[in-house]
Amino acid sequence: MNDAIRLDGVTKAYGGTLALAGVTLDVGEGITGLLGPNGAGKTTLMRMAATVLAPSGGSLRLLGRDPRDLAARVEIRRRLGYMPQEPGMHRHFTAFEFVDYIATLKEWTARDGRHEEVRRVLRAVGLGDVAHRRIRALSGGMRRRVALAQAMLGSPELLVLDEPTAGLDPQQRLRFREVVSELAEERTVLLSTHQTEDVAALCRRVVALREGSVTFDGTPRELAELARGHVWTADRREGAALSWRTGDGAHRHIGDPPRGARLVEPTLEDGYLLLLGETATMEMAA
Amino acid sequence: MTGVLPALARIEARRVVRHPGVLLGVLAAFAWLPAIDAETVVAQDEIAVLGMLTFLVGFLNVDRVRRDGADDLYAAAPSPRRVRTGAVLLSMLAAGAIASLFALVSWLVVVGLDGEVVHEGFAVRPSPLEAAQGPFLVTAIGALGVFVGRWTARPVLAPILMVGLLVGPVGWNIPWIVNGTAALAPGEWTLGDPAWHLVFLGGIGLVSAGLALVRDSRRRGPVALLAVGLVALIAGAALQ
Repeated sequence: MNDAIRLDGVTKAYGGTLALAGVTLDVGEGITGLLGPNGAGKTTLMRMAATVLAPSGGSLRLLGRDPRDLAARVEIRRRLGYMPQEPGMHRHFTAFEFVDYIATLKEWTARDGRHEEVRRVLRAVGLGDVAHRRIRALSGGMRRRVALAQAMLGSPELLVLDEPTAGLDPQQRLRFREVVSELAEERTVLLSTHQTEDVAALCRRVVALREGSVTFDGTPRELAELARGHVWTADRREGAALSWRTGDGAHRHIGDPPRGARLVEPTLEDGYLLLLGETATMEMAA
Repeated sequence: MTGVLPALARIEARRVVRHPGVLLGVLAAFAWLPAIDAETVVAQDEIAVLGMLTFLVGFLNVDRVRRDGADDLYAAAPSPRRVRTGAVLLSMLAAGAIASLFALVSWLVVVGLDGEVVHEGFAVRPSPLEAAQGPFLVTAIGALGVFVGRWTARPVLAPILMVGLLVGPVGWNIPWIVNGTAALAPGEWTLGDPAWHLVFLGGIGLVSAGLALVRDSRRRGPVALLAVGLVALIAGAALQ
């Protein structure tokens, strides 16, 4: 199968601000995680992959088509599932009505078939029992699952999920992982997240963005390996650029070792934090 | 895309008939029914509140996606925005259908099947076209609400415009309803030809629909709708 998403030197400028600064990236089958701090350009890239936003420069191809062409764009949208960061569901719709409305916009015009598909995706995200409850009465986690359900309509070839696990509790996140990993068989899933655990658990590939550029492109293991030899535990906090006290009272350091520190096995999060460097320090301080 | 518009319009229509605004309008119409007489059956007084609230419903329904912050989600669907606007416009026919029921019931109760009513000692035969003004008015005003909602992003304007258009100093000077039967016209009520008045109201609806759709697409369809509506509006206004 060809790469579902191909970016070649893609730029996006908002006035004088460059949100994407010449990104070249191919995304194929399986789950690709997109990591980056706030303002790195993740959502801009996700919106482009969902045909919502056009690049300012460079070349973008989705599912082998050029989204600048109207007919091609419509064809891409027929094969695309998109879960925006803020889906904006109407509070007075029931979960069923909302997904049904999106299904209609996705050209499921035959009522019986559409309703069957709506029930299928709601069941798949574990909301079969609350399908007729109003959105306003659902918890934040349930709303995220409704948003995921609408993205799954028609089993699209390309799924673009922007921070789908934000606000989910561990159990819901586990359920989400089950659903998405199942979906990813023979499909392309682009997953933007702040949760490195999701990337470690789900993705075969991870791309890190910073200030509109790709700073890492590899497997989760390779990202973790970046931090090998840089992650320590010690009794005191001193020396390292990134340091925090863990639950057992020890200090975990990333960077130069403090006195008496012991080298430990790095995680994907360590690699990501090391990659971010100053940005991570600022985010942690904040 | 051909089948999307009717499918979406059916969904929107179901939402219109269950909308609290429309339900309130229906309630007001029911409350008015016992007081209905030969004058009011042609003046369509019972659906005045429903008409005003349909404006509000049209405005709110077409503005829903923006208020919900769902533009990105809907933009990624294969159906373009004009289809959603078109569906909301068509759903205003559901409010028109409710008004038709009231017009029919009040006509049957007051005028009856023989088409004759005794008013102040005289037998009068009002035109059924007079009773049809109510449903036309409700639909046209709903379309007007959709048009305004499509061009403004301020929901607070909806109730202000609703009141201004229908009962304010501007509203009172627009002949929303005309009387074709002089004997049934109250004091200063506008007399006119109800058939041409229906053309006038249809013109308002079509112009509103055209303007709402032109916001989304400058294709021939919306422009043609606008042109036809303008012709109907001008002809109706001149000849009613």
